[in-house]
Amino acid sequence: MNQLKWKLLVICLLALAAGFVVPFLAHVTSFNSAVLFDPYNQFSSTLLRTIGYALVSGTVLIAFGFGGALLLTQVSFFSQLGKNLGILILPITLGNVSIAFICKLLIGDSAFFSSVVAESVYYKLAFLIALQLWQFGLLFIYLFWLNFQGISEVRHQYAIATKFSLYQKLKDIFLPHSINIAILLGTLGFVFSVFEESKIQYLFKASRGTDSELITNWVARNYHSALLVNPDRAREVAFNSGYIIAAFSLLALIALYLVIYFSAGITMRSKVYFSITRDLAIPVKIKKLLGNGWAILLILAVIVPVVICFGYIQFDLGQSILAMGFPLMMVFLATLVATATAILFGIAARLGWQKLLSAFTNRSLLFLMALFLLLIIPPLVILISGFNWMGLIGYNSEWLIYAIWIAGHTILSLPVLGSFVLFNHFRVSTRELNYLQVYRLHTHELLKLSFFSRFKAEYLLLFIIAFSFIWNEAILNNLFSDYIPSFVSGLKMLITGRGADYSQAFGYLLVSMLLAFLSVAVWRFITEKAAKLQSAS
Amino acid sequence: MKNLLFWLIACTLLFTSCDDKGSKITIIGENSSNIQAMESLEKEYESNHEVDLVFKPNTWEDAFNKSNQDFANKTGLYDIILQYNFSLSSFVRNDYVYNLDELKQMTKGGDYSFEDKLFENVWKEVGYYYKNPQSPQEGELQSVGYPFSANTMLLVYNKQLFNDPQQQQAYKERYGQELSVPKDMESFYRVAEFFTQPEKDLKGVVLQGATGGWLYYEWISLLQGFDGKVMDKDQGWKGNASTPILLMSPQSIEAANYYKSLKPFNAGNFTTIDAVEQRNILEKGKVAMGIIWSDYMWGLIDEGNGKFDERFGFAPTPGDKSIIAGGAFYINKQSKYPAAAFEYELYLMQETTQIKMIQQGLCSPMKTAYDAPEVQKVPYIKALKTSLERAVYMMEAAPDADLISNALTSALQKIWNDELTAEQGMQQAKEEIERGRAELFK
Repeated sequence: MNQLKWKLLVICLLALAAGFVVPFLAHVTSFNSAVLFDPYNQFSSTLLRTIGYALVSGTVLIAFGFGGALLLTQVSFFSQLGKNLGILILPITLGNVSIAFICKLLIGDSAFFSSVVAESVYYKLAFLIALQLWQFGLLFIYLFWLNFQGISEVRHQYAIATKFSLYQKLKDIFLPHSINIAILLGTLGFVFSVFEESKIQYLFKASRGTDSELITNWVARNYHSALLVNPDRAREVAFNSGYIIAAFSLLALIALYLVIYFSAGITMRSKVYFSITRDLAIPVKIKKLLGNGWAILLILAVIVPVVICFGYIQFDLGQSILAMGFPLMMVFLATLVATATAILFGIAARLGWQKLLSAFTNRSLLFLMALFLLLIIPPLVILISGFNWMGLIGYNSEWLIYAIWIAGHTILSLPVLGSFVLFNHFRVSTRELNYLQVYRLHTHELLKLSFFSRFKAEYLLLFIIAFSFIWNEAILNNLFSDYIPSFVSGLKMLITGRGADYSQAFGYLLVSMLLAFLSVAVWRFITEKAAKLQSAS
Repeated sequence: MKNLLFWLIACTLLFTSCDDKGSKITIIGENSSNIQAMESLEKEYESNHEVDLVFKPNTWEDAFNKSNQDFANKTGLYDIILQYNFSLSSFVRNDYVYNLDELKQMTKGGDYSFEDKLFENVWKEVGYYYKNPQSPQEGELQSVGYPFSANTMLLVYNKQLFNDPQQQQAYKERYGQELSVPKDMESFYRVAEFFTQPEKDLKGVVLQGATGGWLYYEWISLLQGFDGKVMDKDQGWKGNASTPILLMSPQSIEAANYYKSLKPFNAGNFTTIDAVEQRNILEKGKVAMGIIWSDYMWGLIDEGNGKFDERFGFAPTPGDKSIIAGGAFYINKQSKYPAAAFEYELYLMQETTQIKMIQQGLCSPMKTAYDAPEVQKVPYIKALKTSLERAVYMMEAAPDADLISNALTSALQKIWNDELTAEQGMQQAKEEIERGRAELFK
């Protein structure tokens, strides 16, 4: 297949993704910016607060992930401790609503939590960042650490032979190797913070009166108010604010990229070396001890809250498992399709734009921006677009709904999953692709050699992340929850509102925890197998 | 390729045909004891009628959003929509739902004798609207739907604390009166103050200070105890740009100050306390009282198998009036089976059905059903009936309902947190409401 065909495939997938929000895009001709300049509605101040929070949160997550991974460099991927570090993926597989519920159970009645509620919004946002660190930060540490495993042994040996200082290692080895993944994770950290809703809503009941609303709370509140007039007015409120939120998020995201890119660039190009870090020679034994201690601390940080939480809940899975059986099967199917599509997308993009997408550069920024555009559209806007589409397609057949649900998840998860694949595929060098093409290798051989064999573990990790992403997704699952019971909608219904029933919610939480542990176990199995292969070779 | 196409088309047709199940009535509403009571009779109804009832309980936000989007996109997914009174205006003005006259014409031989047994005040508040919504000044009204539930707020109290002889003795010594369930604002304050006993980890009251309507509902319930009103009108769904806002009245200021004065006696983190959190705190048994929504009471006391948590007592809210809330059955104009849906509605409205549903948690809109011997074991039944009989308009239900709720919530939270005085808060809310209403009604 030549490059054009791969390019066409990528463009088609991107067009499909864009197609989902056509109702939103088509409405742009009626855009009214009045909401931005209304001095009374607090839109601007809420947006600025949200963007500021997301930038801080994204930066802290990246710093925590990178710094945390640096402390783990002495831990080998194939050691017992290294294999057990896979548990760091557990928090993200639990999802927003479960984490908010766990947090409520663990510290909702504490004096500490009461003091956070009583203080200004900054304390609440700081608390949220701490929660983000548990949910995403631990995963980021793990991903940075996994990324470090790709640094060649030759470099490490060279660093030892030439007695690199800590700073030199950071500047000349770890930082250059981490820039791509930092950009990717920074984007995700930022986006998940901009559109944070469940945790702040459930834990703090964000409100105007306490100046604690984030932009998603603002949009949801004003959308519901306008629905009392009519749905058209409500849609206008959501879409008009949606354009502004998307534009500001995009600008902030570019700023975040520039900060990461240039600060890393300046550091890497700098000729300044701090002698103090050279003098600070830590014995290898101590380094290992510190690394192992940090790894154990991280593992405990994941396990302890979950184990304590088990003390609060009643172990009754009966009805929850029955209620979740069908959606579990559907999520599994959707995950298969979404993962396969993301891999196809990643391969097609790498083969279609061999030079452009060989690394994160200024030129590839535009391509990545196009991919991330869908991520910066507010979830409520996507939900309304979904309703509009279903108004056209109709709900005539349950099978059609199931198909649309799977297709929808595939499209909506493409930016996150596709970018994850794409960033991994940067490791396939352009020289290698050219070499294989010169030898006129058949497409399937090329795919096998350069992608499938090499990224087996990454694709499996992608599957686990995709499963948790789709399981905990709140837009499509909400839209179709009357047909395919949604875990998130179900749990929300059991912890808020008139039908709240904690005893049933515990069953849902148990299902969520079991799935999280299962994901960790699968990943552990994969790493174990990789370790055996490594020792055999 | 041709074969593949053939199989794809064949499978699609097969799957499509598999879904045709005849008269399927889909009901959407907030997951609550009310819809759960209806679900409990699903099999009974289906066994006597060739109808498949499909219940879609959702969170309030989801049910509200989905039903509105269903109307707007004309997808006809839901035949019966269970919504609260603030949706009434929008549903009628946008011509989304049938009125009762239209439905009665479709259904011959219906038994409407139950209409006289309904709480008239509740029905007028949740199921009536202007006959000509474009010209409300004509004043002629039409009935749009029957109420599916009649809600109000009640005083819930911890019976163990109130019946404790030591507490009774201490109260008498301190106030020179017998300890009893508060009937007015003064005694409510006194009892809240009395039961605030830090040495025993007790608090007098748990207030709902969260956004999302909770604080607003609770405060207007107290405002009613001071004979105050938010607007000068007699029905929640009425009103226009010139309806006077009464938030700067002495009653409103007094109610705001009174609410704030309960702060030292209040349990929980006020601004995070909604009805669910309030219920959780009450269940721990360390709080003497709360003002609770009637449709949250079942969740508070129900222990399953007809058993109830006997620790709680119920009484009308302090003052001589209660607030009306609740919702109505709305039948979608896009429904494929409006007549069948209405027939089901009529079945639910029969007294025998209402009595059964009360025993499953329904706050019935039927006055006579409260007198049935079977329902007397429900702990709150007398207090609920008394409250509904004396209930009047207090909650806004016009298109500006959310605007008013948000403005008041914001102001009251700031008053509570000492950022504004009661006067400043009420003034701020009044200005915001007037500004918003001018925009809404222009």
